[in-house]
Parts: sequence; structure tokens; C-alpha cells
Amino acid sequence: MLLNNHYDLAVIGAGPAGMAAAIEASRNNMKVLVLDDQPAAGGQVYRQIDRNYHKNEELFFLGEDYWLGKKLVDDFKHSSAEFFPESRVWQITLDKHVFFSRKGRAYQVQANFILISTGATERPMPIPGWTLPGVMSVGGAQTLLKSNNSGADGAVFAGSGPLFYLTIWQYLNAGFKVGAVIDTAPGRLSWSHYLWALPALLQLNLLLKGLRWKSHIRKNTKYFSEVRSVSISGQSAAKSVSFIDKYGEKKKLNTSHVFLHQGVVPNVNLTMATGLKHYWCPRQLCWHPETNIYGESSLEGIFVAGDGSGIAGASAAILAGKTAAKQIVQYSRKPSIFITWLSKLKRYKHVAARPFLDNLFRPPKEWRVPLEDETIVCRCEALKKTDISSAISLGVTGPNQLKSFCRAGMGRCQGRMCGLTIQQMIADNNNLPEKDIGYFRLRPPIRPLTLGELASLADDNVLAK
Amino acid sequence: MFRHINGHKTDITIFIDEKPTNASSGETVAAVLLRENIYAVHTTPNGEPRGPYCMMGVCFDCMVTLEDGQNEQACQIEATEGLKIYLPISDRYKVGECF
Amino acid sequence: MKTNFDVIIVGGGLIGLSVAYGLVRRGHDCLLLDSSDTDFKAARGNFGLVWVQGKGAGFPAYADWTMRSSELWSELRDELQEYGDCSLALEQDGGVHICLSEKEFADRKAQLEILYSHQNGKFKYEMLDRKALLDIQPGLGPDVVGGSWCPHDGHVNPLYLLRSLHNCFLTRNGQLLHDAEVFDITHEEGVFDVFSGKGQFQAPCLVLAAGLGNRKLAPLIGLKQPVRPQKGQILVTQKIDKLIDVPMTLLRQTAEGSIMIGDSKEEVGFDISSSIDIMAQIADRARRTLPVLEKQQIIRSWAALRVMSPDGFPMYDQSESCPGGFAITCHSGVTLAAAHCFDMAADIEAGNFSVGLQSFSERRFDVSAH
Repeated sequence: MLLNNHYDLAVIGAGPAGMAAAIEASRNNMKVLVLDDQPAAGGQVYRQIDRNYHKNEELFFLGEDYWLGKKLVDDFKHSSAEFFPESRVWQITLDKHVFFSRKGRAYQVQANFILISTGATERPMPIPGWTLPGVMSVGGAQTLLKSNNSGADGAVFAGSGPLFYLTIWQYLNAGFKVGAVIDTAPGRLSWSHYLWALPALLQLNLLLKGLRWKSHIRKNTKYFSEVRSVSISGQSAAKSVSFIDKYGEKKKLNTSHVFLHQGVVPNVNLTMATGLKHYWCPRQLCWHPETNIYGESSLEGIFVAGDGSGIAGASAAILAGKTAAKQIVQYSRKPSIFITWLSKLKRYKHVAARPFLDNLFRPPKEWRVPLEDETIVCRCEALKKTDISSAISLGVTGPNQLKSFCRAGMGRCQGRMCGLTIQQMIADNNNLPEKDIGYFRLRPPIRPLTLGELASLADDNVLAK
Repeated sequence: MFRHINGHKTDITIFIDEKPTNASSGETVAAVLLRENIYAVHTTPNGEPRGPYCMMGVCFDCMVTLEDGQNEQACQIEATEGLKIYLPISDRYKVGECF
Repeated sequence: MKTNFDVIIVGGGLIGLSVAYGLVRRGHDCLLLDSSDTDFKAARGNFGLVWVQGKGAGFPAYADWTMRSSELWSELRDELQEYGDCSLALEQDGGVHICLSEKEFADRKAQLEILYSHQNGKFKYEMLDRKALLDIQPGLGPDVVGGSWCPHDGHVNPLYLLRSLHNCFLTRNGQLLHDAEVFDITHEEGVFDVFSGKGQFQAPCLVLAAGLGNRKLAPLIGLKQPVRPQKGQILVTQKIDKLIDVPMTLLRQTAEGSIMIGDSKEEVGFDISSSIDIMAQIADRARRTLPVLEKQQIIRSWAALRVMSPDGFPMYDQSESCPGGFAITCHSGVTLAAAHCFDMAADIEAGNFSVGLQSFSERRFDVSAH
């Protein structure tokens, strides 16, 4: 596979947003390169859809929304965009050079425009025992189902949110025995829930689908609602899950498999390391890259689309990718106010239910900052809440000083599993809003690469002067 | 126990710490490990056992070692016929092994 | 909160904290004013070497000062570990400077010979050929021709040093304010008035240790402190079982197991972005030194701005127009931490730099046009 050094558009992430953008841009005769770290296009939502399609009877349980992605992937494959799978992007420079590693070698390309569509990742969920072997995120459990056609019997699912209910529903359809479902969502809706439910009606089919999943789950599993104080116990692996049910009674369930979920957040490591401006979204409790309606970031020519710019789901991602590509194609021409407003309206019907969902499934505080001192906060460095607290008590203004005091955030995951937790802990301690605390200062390489891969850039003279 | 969905078959062999293990082409090494009841693959600096958690390459808790000594996330390695991987948690490998 | 102190120190990096701790342990009432979380802080980018070899060519006082600090370091470590809450992992069993060509080896040999002759043999070193080096560090690559070994060299955990100084400063009743950037200083009747983001404070003694920030603050007390930023980049690997037995100028393994790889000296102003070509060169040199590193994962990189004087040596000054005012900068905050904590703090307490320290004055530059 020959690699050209220069492209009109480089797309990072071949999920719905990236694929839609690549299709649109290449249709307009742009030279497009798409990079993704997986062996096939699809992102998370349409993971391995191409390979799975041949077994679609066997895999019917994934649901019709999943299969809708097939056409998108087919159109992407038939487009003129160049696709490099198994490519890990680890740096984007301000002059739009993209550095990535593939099968033991490092490469560099340059593009006139870059679209970052690296999607979302699950929130850190620092509850007691979350690091025990046998505990996984629900997204992980779903990936096992989608890409590896595997699952566990007798698992306990804990948390809430759209992905939570979807995955359990898929598990049931696939014939796995679900041990129990412990739901942390509130039982009673407050006035703010009802307020946001009104615009959510624009996505009525989405809401009805959710209700269907939930009712199916209630009927077919041992279901506990409105739970709190969830904790997992075990010596060297998960053995049981304890919680307090809605009547205030302590419950304990024996299991070796626990799947957790409290929503997803934009995966900001690449956007932050590249130097894009971000803002704190209090409703989704996460950082978003600043973008205009077309997805252009604070850096000229660098766009962000899909869940990576704000959680909104697959259909919104497809629209966002297409919109960004359209804007890139006619970049020198300023779009009319009419087009701008039309885009806003078009987008709205894909995101109308978002405030309702964000509100309803807001992660409980005890899932954002552990109640117990012994709970691990920084997984990579095995630092507990108490370790972080004692470093904070030395007096820190933000996560970067904390990092230098106790190593939190210095591990391989570069803060993906602890950044939000630590930010919240400092905010609580300093009595300041989260947005004033900031986040870890992220730097490339945002994915690990070997010394040999990095050094090869020096001897191949691959580097642009 | 993790298992394949009903009717799914394995068609290749990989080697985990030299032990031949059945796998399906295209699945990730992390999935194979889970099905083999291997939930912990490495330990943290203070000795805590860790294994696959996110299955999407962001948690870095599924680290295994390849034949050439390189460390890699098991959830990012595709199982191919004859692939050899080694678990840092096993006592076998000393110098150059990561933890 | 009270506003009068014995000493106000501006700058919460290694220099400021070393001196501040040195003063509180001598019983002084100190206030330390530090800036915000994301400011350029050289203290967060230190490599961690406590290094003697090769230092002070053409400046014997610096070689002496470095040696003195190296000798005092274990005392600092003992004190900080006794009163603090973390291990500094100090090792002072020698260090090596690797040479990857005959020319590098010859140049290094010549450089150290000159230095040695100026120091009257006060510091020991040995030029080791490849064979001898392999005895102390196995696994060196075929390009390694030899190197210089010095028994006085060592390394320490620089972040835990910072944390310990911070902690011990507080436990001895030092006052520390963050987000307290200083924007004005006046001096009247022997008292400094310091205006900061967290309020106005007074003290008869003032120490400016704000690194690159000293350039803006020093003129307020009649000094110049012509510092400039010099970028250095570091790569950090995953944690590995013990591989590197002796610290090297560009390669050391931390107590946790990760390997730190340096180094660069880039004159690019206030730019701390990562530059790939430099990172690639750093990686290349490291794998030539220790080929087994080829397959190890780099999990993060780091860039920081050294605080450089025109000749690269420290600048220590006491103000003549504002007696009681001091300005101190250097780029070896780790190595010199002990000397700053013990000797320099004693001089500041006495109100006068000793003769040895006076040779570090900025007057040596005949500072006029900056």
C-alpha cells in the first residue's frame, strides 16, 4: 500500500462521522485519507459490521440499528478515499502533519484539512472494586459481543444509560443468562426531566425504543432499580456486587462478571494534545472541543465531528461528518446565513432528546468521586482516593500540579481513566466549579509507540523539513 | 465464564505462554484470554492483578507481551494462526518484561 | 491572613522551594507566592540527575558549588524523608556520560582533562573504554565507544523532591499561596511591598526565584537577570524491570521502572510543543546506546523550558539599590537543591552572599543592552 505524502483531507477515525465525511469529500474530488486503529471501518457503533454481515442471521441480536450501518460502510468502501486500518495516530501538529504508527513503523502525512472523528469513550467509574479482574465496562462487554461474538453468563450489569439498556437487551437476545441488572437511574422524574421531555418528543422513536428495551429487561432479568452505594468485592478477581436497593436494604449478589456503565464522554486526548480549545459542558459533565456549527475547531482547517465533539449518537454523527466535509469542500466560500440556520435545524432533530437523556442518566456523584478512601482513582499508577486527597491537601491549583506531586495521570492511559475524577476532586476540595479547575495538559504521543518506531522517523528522512 | 455465542466455532490456534489455544480468526487476543478464564494478565506496580476492562484500547490494563518482546494491548491484537503471546503475570519472563 | 513576613519568596519551583524550606528550617517566617497550574514550570520537567561531571568548565566556582551540593545531598534527603511523606530514591553511586563515536570520546576526554586541571583534582573521574563500560552497564549497543564515569554522580526523583520540599515547607509553618502572580514590587524604608494576585504583602527580605519570570521582576528591585528559555524534551517509557544500572546523562531508570530519555537544547522561545524531529533524534540516540530499548513503548513525552543565563551558569544577585532583595536563577535545580537549601539560605539570612556566591553575579555579563 503506497502512502502519498499529501492529502486534501485527512480523517482520523472511521466511525459514522469519519465515514460520512470521507464519502462526501471524495465525492467532491478531494484526495482523502482515512486512518483508524481498528482492522476495519465502523468505529464503535458499527464495529466489525462488514465481517459480521455474513453472519447476520447468527448475529440478529445486535438489533436493526446496528445493521443500518452496513450501507454507510459499503459506500465508504466504494468511495475513492484511501483507508489505512490498524493505524494509530499519535500526533497532529499545528501545520497539519499527522503522525501515526502502523505495524511497527511510524509514518507522516500532511493534509490541507483534518477531521478528527475519534468518537467517545466511557466515563471513568471509580467505585470500590472497579479494577478487579472480571469487571469490565458495558462498552467492553458490547465489543466482546460485536467483534468477538462472545459474552458471559451470569453477569451483573450496574449503571444506567442508553448503551446500558441496549447492551443488556442484546445479551438477552443472544441467549446469555443475565445475572442481574442494578439500575442507578432515579425512579421519580423531577420537573426538569419533564421539561426536557418535551423537545425529546421530536425523537419519539428513540424514546419508545428505550422504553421497549427497559421493559424487556425488567421482565427477563432480576432487576433492581434506584440503587446506590454499589461496590464490588473480591481478592484477586470479582466475587460479588453489593448495593443498597430502593427500600434502603443492603443486597449482595455473587458473580465473577460485573459490567459497568455511566455514560460516554468525548475522547479528547487527541484534540487536547493538538492544541484545540475546549470548554466544559456542565450538562454532560465533560470537556468538548470548541467548534462552530460546521465543526471547525479553534484551529483553522481542523474540524471535529461525531461523538468526539459532544455526545449525540450515530445519526447526528453522520450528519456532522457530512456537514464538515461540505464546509471543507467549499471552504473559501462563506456560507449564507440561511444555510447556517438550515444546518442548525437539521441537526436539531437528531439531538433533541439529548438534554432529556443527559439529565435522566446523569452519573450519580458517588460514581464520579468515590465515597471510600481505598477505592482506586488512577488505575495506571494504582493510586487510591486517599493518595490523591493527601496530594491535593498540599495545596494544588489544578490537575497538572497534582500530577507532579503524586504521579496521577502519568501512566499509559494519559488520564483517560482518571482525569475527570481528579478534576472533580480538586473542584470539590477548592470549592470551585469544575470548569475553573481545568484538565491534564496532554501531549503527544497520545498513543504509545515504540522507541524504534519513533527513531525510524529520524533515519528514514521521512520528516518534512 | 465467557463463551462464544451458540453455534460459533473456533478455527485457528494461538499460543498463550506456549500453550496451544483455540481461537476464531479475527477476534482479539483479549477475547481469547477471557474465554480461557484468564482475567488477569499483568500486575500494577504494587502487585494488583489487572486484565481487560474497556476492550477499546483506552484503559491499558490488558497488556501482553509479543514474541519479539514488545508490549501490546491484547484488545488491539487480532488473533492469527500461530500467534504467540506471553503474559507478564507469569513468572517465566524476566529482563525486559514489562509490568 | 496576615501580610507581614520575615521573607517573601516569589516562585514555587525547585529554586524557590529549596531556599524557602532552607529559611523556614532556620526559623524564619516565610511566605511563598506561586503562579498558576499551567504556567511554564521548569520544576515539572526535570530529568532528575544529581550531576557533577563536566560542570563548570571555565567557571571553577560553579564546579565547586556543584561538588558542595552533591556532598550535602544525602543530608537533604535524610531530612526531607524524615519530615516528609515520600521516598526520594536518591542514588549517588556514580554516573556515566556515553560517547557514540571516537570523536565524541576524544572531545569528552579533552574537556574533562581541562576541567580536572582547573579543579586541582577535587573531583574524580575516569575515561572508560567500551569493555570497561560493559562491566558496569551490560547491554550497551555496538555504537558505544566508551564514556566518562564519575563516582560523584547520581540521580533522584525530582517530582518527589518538589513534593517533599513543598510538604516540609508547610509543616514548618511556611505560608504558600497559589495563583498569586506578582505584578509589582516597591521598596521603602527597608521594607518590600509585594503586589500579587492574592493580595499585598510586606517583608524586609525578598527572594525572586521565579525562573523565566525573574526577567520581568528583577528590574523592580534594581537587577537585570537576563534569562532566556531553552527547551528540553524528554521521552518516558513504560515501566520495565531493572535494566539500567547506572544513570547516564541522557538515560536513567526511575525507581518505579520507567526509563527517562533526554535530551535536547532548543532555542525556540516560549514554545513547549513537542517537535517530532527532536524526539526522533532523542529516540535514535537512546536505542543506539541500549538496543533493547528499541521495542519498549514510549508512553509520554515532556518538554520544559530551562532557565538559561547568557553563559549557562547560575545567576545569584543581591540588590544594591534595594538591600535585602535577592534574585536567583539556574537550570540545575535538582543538583543544586542541597546547596540552595543549606548554604544559600544561610547567606540570605545573613543578608549577604559569601564571596564564593558573589562570583555568580549578573555583573559578570557587563549587562547593558538586553
